[in-house]
Amino acid sequence: MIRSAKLCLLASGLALTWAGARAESVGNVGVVNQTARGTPPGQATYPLSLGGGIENRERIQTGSEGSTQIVFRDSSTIIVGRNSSVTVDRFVYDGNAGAGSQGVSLVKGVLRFVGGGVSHEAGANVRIPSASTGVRGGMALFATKSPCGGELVVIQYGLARVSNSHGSVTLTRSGFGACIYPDGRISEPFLVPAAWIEQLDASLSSNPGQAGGADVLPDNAEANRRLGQGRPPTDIGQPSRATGLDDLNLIWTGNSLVQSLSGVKNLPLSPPNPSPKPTPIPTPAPTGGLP
Amino acid sequence: MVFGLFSKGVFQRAFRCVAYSFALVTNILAGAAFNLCAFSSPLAMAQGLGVIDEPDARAEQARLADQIRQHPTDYEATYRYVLLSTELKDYEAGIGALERLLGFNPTLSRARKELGFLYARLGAYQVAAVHLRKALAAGDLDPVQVAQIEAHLSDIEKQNEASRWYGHFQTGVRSQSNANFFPSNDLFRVGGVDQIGLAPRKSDFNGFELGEVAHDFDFQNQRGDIFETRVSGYATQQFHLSQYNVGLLSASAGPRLALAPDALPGVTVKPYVTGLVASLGDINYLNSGGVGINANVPLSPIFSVEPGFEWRALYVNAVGPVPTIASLATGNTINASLSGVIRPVDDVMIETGLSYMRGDAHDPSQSFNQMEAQAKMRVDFEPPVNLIGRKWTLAPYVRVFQIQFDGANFFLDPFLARRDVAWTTGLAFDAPITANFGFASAIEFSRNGSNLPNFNSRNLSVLFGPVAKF
Repeated sequence: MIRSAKLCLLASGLALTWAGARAESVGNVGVVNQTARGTPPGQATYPLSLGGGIENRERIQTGSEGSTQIVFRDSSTIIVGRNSSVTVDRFVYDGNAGAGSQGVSLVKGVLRFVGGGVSHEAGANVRIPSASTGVRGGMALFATKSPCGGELVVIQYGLARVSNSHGSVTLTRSGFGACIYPDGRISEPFLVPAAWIEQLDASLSSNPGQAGGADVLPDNAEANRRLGQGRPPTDIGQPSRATGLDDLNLIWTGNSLVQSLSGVKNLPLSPPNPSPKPTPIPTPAPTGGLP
Repeated sequence: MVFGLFSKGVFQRAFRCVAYSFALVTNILAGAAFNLCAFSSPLAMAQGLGVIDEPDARAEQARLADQIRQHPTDYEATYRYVLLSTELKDYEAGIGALERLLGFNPTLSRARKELGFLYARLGAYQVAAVHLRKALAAGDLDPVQVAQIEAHLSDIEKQNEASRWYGHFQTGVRSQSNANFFPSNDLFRVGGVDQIGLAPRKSDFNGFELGEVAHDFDFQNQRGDIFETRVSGYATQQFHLSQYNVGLLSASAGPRLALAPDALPGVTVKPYVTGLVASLGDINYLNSGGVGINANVPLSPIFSVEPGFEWRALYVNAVGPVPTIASLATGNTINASLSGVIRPVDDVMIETGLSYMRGDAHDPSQSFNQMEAQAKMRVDFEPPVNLIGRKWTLAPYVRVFQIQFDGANFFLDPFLARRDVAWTTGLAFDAPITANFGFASAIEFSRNGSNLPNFNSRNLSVLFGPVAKF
C-alpha cells in the first residue's frame, strides 16, 4: 500500500515536472493563503505554493479564506481576493523591448491589478463577465459583486477604458469608478465611496493569523532597519501647491512699490546746501543727444 | 484595439511632437540631475544601494524584481527593491512589493505606512489615507514614523474633500541695508545734470507679515476640475522709514479645467480674474485688476511647463511734486510668461520662468518693455532631528530683468530714456517643525543698474520668522 502510494507520488511529481518544463512560466505566486488553487490548461488542479510558476491560460481559484498575489515577469501583479476565480488569458513580455501583451479575466470575486512593463506601454486588458477594461498605467480594482448593484471597476492610478456592447466609459481620475448593471449598461464615472474601497480591500488582504505562505514573517524591526528613516516628499499631500516662487513674488512686488515711490521721494528738489559745496559731476553725453 | 483613444488624433500627434522636442532637453537635464543627486540621495546612501546613474539603477531593479518574484520571502531584496523603485519613481512596483509583505504579515505597520505614502505619490489619496490611518492606529510604529504620518496625513485626507482650505502665515523681522533704495553713489540726475543727493542712504528693520489663504473647490467630476481662489497679503512696519510701510493684498480666482483628461492627462487650463490693492505709508498707492489665462502641461513625469498671459489695468496714486519719475504709473500692462518645473528626483525641484511685460502709461517715460528670467532650485533634505516629520528645504534663487522705458523723462534727462538691468539673488530656508508650525528665513541681495544714476541701487535684506500653516 505504502509502496503504491510512493509510486503514485513519484508519478505525479514527474508529471508536474514534465508539465512545468513544457509550459513557460509567465509569473510566480507571490503570496498565497489557502485555499487557493491553480488549474493549468489541460492539467489537474493543484494547490498554489509560494514562488510556484503560473502559466498562460491557467485558472486560479480561491476559497472563502483564500487569496493570492501573482507577480508577472514585467513586475505587474494581480491580487486575487476571497471566493474568486481568475484566468490568466495571455501574457507575453519582451523585457529588452519593453513590449508585450497581457490579459486577465475575472470570472467572479475581487481582483486588484497593479501595472508593470506591459500596461505602461501597450496597456493590459482585464475582462469581467459583462465588460472588458483596458488599463493604461496603472492600478485598478475589479469586483463582480459590489455595493453599486452590479460589477464595479475602480481606477486607482492611470487610465481605464471600460467597454461592452452597450457602450464605453473612460476612467481618468483616481478613485473614480464605473458600475456595469445587470442589464449591461455602464454607468457614468462616479467617485467611489471610501467605504466601498475599504470593503473590497478587506477581501484582498490576508486575515489576521494568515501568513501568505511564508514560514518566517517580516517584522517592523527589520523593516525599520532596511527602509531607513527617510521622509516622504514635502509636497506629497499638496500636489498643486509645490512651487515656491509665489511667496517671493509678494516681497518683490512690495520692493517694486517702494522703489517706485522712493525714486520720487529721494530726489533732491531743493538746491544743495552750499556748505559743503557739492561737486558737479560731468554728465556723460547722451547717446545721439544734444550737447 | 482597446487603446485607440490613446493613440489617435491630430491634436495628440502635434502634442507629442512638441513633447518629444522638450523631452530631448529634459532628458539631458534630468539625466544630469539624476546622476548628481543619486550620489547624495539619503535613501540610496543609507541603504548602500551604490546607485550612480539611471541605467544601472534600472538594471539593478530588474535583477531584484527577478529575485523576489522567484523568492518572495527574500525580505532584504524586497526592501531594496522598494527603495530603488521609489527612487526611480516606479511607485507601482514598490506598491506591489509592499502589498506582498503585508500579505505575509498584515500587521506590518512600517510597510503599511510606506504603502500609504506611495499611493499618495500616485494621487490615490483615498487608499493612501486608509493605509496611513491603519498604520497609525496599529500603535506599534516608532515615534519617528508616527511623526512622519502626522506631518502629512491631514494634507492627504484633505485631497479627498470637495472643499479644501490651505493657509500659511509668516511673521518676523526683516533688515534692509538700503531701505529707501537710495542711489549707490549718492548721485541724482536732474535736468541732465548730476548732483549729490541730500538725504543719505538708510538701512532699516521692519516687522513683516506674509501669508496666503487658498481655497480649492473640487467639482469632484472625474475630469478633476477645480475652482481655485487665492488671497495673499504682505505687510511691513518699518522701524524708522514709516513712509515705506507696505500693505499689499492680492487675490485671484478662476477654474482650473482639465483640457482632455483621456488624451492629454494632466493638462489643465486656468482662466482667472485677479486684483491687487497696495498702500505705502498711509496712502493707497496702487490698485490693479485684470484677467489672465495659464495652462499647465506635463511633458514628462518630471517636467512640466506653464505658459500664461495676463492683462491688468493699473491705477497709481501720483505722489510727490514730480510723479512721472515713478516707475509705476496709471495705465495697463500685458504679461506673457513661460515657466517650467523640472523634478529629476524627489528632493530636487528646479523652477524657471521667462516673461515679457509691456506697460503702457500716459507718459512715454513711464511706458516700458520688460524682459525677466527667474530660476529657483529647491533642495529638500532630512532635518537634524528624527522626530521632525517633514523635510527641510534650502532654495537658492536668482532673478534678472531688463526694463526699457519708451521715452526720456524731461525732468531727469531730456535726452536719455531710462534703461535698468536688475538682478536679485538669494537663499530661502524653510524649516517645518511640526505639521502646522516651523521657521523660515531668506537672505537676498539685489542690485539695480540703470543708465540714470538715480536708480542705481543695492540692497541686502535678511528676513526670519515663525511660520504657521494649515
